[in-house]
Amino acid sequence: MQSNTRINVAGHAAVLLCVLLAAGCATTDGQSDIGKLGGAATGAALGSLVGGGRGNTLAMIGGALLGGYAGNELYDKPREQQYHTQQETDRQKAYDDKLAYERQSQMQHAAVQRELHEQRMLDEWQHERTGETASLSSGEVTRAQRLLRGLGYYNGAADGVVGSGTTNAVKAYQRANGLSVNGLITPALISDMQAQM
Amino acid sequence: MKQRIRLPGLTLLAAASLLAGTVMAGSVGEDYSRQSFSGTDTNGDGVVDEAEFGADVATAFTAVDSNNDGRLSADEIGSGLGHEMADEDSNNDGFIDRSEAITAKSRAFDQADKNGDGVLSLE
Repeated sequence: MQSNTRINVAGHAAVLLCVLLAAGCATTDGQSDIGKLGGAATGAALGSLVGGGRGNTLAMIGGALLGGYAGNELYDKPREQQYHTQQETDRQKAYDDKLAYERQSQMQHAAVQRELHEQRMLDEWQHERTGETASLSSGEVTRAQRLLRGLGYYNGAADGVVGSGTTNAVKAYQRANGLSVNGLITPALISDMQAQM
Repeated sequence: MKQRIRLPGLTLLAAASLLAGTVMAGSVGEDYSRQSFSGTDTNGDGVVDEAEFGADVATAFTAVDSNNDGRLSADEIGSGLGHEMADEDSNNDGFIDRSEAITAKSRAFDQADKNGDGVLSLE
């Protein structure tokens, strides 16, 4: 008698395991099917009870299948949908971030290009007006700014960029030294300032 | 002695700022002339020297050159400033390049600077 009960229990356990494994194999996206498995287990237990408490294998399988289906509909599907929605949101955010980065890079690139063009045009203007060789390097501009600072005409940064502060300092120097006041940095001006240091 | 500039002369000076599209084409009123002059006179000493004028030209040119190709097309300049194109496009290729703009503005500066002291003032 005891031996029959053990066989029954082992048989039910094996059937239940098969149902649960089958339910697990139905997973499509690698997510754990907690609802399906839990539903199957609960359904199997209820089926077993409804089917006579012990040993009604068909009732247990039916209960497990129904429970698995219910668990899937009530728990797993909404979770999967939430997971997919989150994935889609993440993908969209990554795409938007990438677009924003590219747009910002393009704007920065355009700003740098405009600055270079403006500087080149200033060089060409200087060449047109003075006949001096155009395109002083930023190193030469930095040198001029340091000299102007050393001589007390400039208190800005020696950054190699000609701004209004640098131009005004050059003019002040030219005015104070009886030079033509045009605010332009030239090799001759740099030599002149060096001679005064 | 500062050079007096009447409006016709200043029109040449203002052309650089005009390129930036900051004013309606066709006429340059006195208020605008003063405003434009003040904008170009960056150190506020009451005169516009070569460096300030050149900086204004360069700033205006690069602002209008929206595609950064170093030359201004008719589309970039706008139909209201067609006379700029006619005056400055010396090789008639349909574009104003940097050297054409510089040559034209340099000539404009010299024409406005009638006493040749290298600065322009507005009275």
